[in-house]
Amino acid sequence: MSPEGRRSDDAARTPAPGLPSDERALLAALRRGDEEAFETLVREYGGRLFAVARRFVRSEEDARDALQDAFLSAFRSLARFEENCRLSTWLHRIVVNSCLMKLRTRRRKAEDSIEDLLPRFHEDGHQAVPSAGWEKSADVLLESREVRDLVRAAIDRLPESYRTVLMLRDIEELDTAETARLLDLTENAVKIRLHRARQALRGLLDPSLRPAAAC
Amino acid sequence: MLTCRALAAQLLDFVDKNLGADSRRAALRHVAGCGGCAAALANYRTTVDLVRAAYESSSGLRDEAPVPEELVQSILSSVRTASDDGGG
Repeated sequence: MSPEGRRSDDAARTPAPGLPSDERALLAALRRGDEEAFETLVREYGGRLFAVARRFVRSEEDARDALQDAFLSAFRSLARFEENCRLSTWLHRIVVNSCLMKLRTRRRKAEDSIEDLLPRFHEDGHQAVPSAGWEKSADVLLESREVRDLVRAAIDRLPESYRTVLMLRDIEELDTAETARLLDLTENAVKIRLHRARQALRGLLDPSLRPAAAC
Repeated sequence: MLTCRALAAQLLDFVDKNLGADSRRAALRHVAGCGGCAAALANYRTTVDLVRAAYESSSGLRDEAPVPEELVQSILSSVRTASDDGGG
């Protein structure tokens, strides 16, 4: 097994001392073309990356394709890994990219508008339907498996372009600049989409989390 | 005087602490006198916390999905093929 560039001077590159020793050893073996090392990489990091792919693309088949494409891309890019981050971070970026490409090829139909999910205001700027505070804090709510399922289902109801930004920023924890670069948007557009996605999500969760109406 | 609509537009920057001092003071003044916006702000914060933890287990660890063995083998096979083709 010989990753692209391995035969060049990159073959002799020593992993940076900043990487943990186990990752340095794994990376060195990968760059030597050690087949067992690649299997170790797949088995050690695959579970978390597969979870990323499944929550992003949602279809099992697409998630499998995205994961396979990601590992192939990682193999081809080993020589270019600059070791300025952990292997897991590098692989995470690659699988996110792979998922975005998969989503782009799937995005064919027009999106539903998000407007109906956003808060409404009277002409004078007051809330049309005053918000009521939810009874429980996030910490308490998150103890419930049902609430997690409810939140995931609500995220899946967002229009795709908003869901993608929310996933990248709030779940995959990419910063605004990197999200903008990946989606070919301005940073301001990312902020606007994230805000609208959160607002819409709050609206979707509200009927289930607001206090029951007094009789 | 800040309206509810104007405050709603600033929630992301407010929560992320990216509002300037004057804007933050104006937002806090509005929230102090508007129960609806106080609830909207609290619910917005809770929404962000819920989203961030939605894919974690109750112990706070990120979900993992076991990779099916046939997928592992398929990945290894595709990498072997790429290698045989000249390193990708």
